[in-house]
Amino acid sequence: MIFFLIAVAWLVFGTFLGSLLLFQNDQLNQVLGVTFSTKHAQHAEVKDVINSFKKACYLVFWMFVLASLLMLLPAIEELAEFVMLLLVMGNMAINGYAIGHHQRKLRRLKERNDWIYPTSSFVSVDLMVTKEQGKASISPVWVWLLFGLGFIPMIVLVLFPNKNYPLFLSVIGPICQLPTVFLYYQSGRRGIMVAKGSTQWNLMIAQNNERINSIAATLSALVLWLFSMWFNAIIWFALKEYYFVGAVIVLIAGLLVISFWQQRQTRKILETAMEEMEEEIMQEKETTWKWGCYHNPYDSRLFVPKRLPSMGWTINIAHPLGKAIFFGTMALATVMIGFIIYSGTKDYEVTIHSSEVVFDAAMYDYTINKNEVASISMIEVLPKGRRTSGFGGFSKSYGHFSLDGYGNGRLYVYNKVKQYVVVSLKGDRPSYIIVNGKSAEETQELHRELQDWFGK
Amino acid sequence: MILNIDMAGDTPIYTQIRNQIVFGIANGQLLAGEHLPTVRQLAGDIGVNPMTVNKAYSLLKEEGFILMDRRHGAQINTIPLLTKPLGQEFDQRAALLIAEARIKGVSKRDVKERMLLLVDNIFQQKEEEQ
Repeated sequence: MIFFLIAVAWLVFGTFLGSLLLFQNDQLNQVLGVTFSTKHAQHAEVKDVINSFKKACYLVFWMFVLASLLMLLPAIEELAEFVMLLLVMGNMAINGYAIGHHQRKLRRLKERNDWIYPTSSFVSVDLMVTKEQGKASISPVWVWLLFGLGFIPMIVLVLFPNKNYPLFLSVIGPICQLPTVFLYYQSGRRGIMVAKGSTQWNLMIAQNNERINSIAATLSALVLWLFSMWFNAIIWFALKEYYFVGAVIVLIAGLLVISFWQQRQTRKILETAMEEMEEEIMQEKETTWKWGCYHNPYDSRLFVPKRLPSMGWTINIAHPLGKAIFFGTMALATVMIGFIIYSGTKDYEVTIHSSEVVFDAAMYDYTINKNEVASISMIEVLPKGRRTSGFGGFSKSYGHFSLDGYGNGRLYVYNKVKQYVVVSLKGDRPSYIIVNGKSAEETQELHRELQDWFGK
Repeated sequence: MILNIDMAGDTPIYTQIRNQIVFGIANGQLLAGEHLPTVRQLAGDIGVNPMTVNKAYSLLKEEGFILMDRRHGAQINTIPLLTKPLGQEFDQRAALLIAEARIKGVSKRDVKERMLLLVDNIFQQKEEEQ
């Protein structure tokens, strides 16, 4: 379990490092999210800042890889999932600080050298290009087909029910697939780059961008579909967590490769166009970012490339739907982090009343009546099985479980203590409750108290 | 033809779209019979509500500059405009501009020169396109 947590932490650190290093020095006139002309982006001082940023990224990565080994210390072991969460959040924060620090350096460099670019509230639209919108994309049939194929596990599950696999989990595939359909339709929306008097180039750039973006969206849909099938196979065959880590690695690597390809192709087209154009078309873009998010009310796109395009896509929080997604995601993340912290820190409480016993745990309380109980016993080996819903941390496992030979029941156990009180119930949902204390002594004491209560 | 829309300007966006299309027709950048983008396409590219573009197109249709068709969308009108081009409305709008210039202290000669320059610009561009 501890190695699994360390592997997940490394995966996250590696993903951040990979995304940060995949950025291009000059992508659409953006160097680390700061606007530079093609010529200024090649300046030695700019290159120095980029090199310093790369070194900082490697340093942060290795620091956190070493810090994650702290989870192996016996004193920290029990808090492993919190430590992992802290490390991941710390890694994000320090990487964010490194980006901000180097962006400030680049802005100071611009000020010092008087590299001022035009800013404007004008939006230029080439009518010829607008008319041709959508004609260069690859067919939407593929993304819709992959969305449809996402329902395969659900259909299979309806036809051949599997006790390992609750039906609601099969909806996850199509839900994950749906954003790629949105992404495909957004790919038709081009950036706001229009050269005056060069309709031919505007059309060429727009159509190539449209083609590349639609291919990238379709390939992303394919990678997500493969991930979803792999994920479904893991649940169906009750495979170990390591298979899941493998699936996530393939998913992240696939999406990064697609993103990298997309950028490279886009850059190539722009470079070709720039060579032909007399002057560079560019505008200061500093004002389009707010709270670290893209904020441009004049841009109708919902999904836009991130300031570091290799890091994928982000939402335009000035878009009404963007605002809803942003605040919804923030709320969801806060609730999830809150839940993990609360679940991991709250101890179980078993309260014995005259005719009932209350098992109190975060979000998974349960009360049993004396007349529901069939027997109370102790075991020293927890049967193998799987969690259907609940919390499965390093130190604690609780919630709904399905154990071999026992069926569906509830667990309230501290993983380190190898003694368990089994309260067998007369019904089958749940058919048992397995609980223990924080130590073997506490478990034995609990067993005595429960037996006394049952015998009265 | 390129539309340059000032999103922060005082002139409403639908008026800017309408005016620039009229200029485009006058100077020959938009030819009779040429199709315009659909309302949704143009609204998407400018980044405005489709109602804004629809309002501009409706104005242009009312004034006879474009034709709207359910199957073919909007296209530049090939039939000469039915309203009298140099009628009362033209006089009123031109006179108003001249009056405003005079109030702001522009001389008669400067106004004439500027008007001629603008006339030359629009007619010359059209001739070059043809």
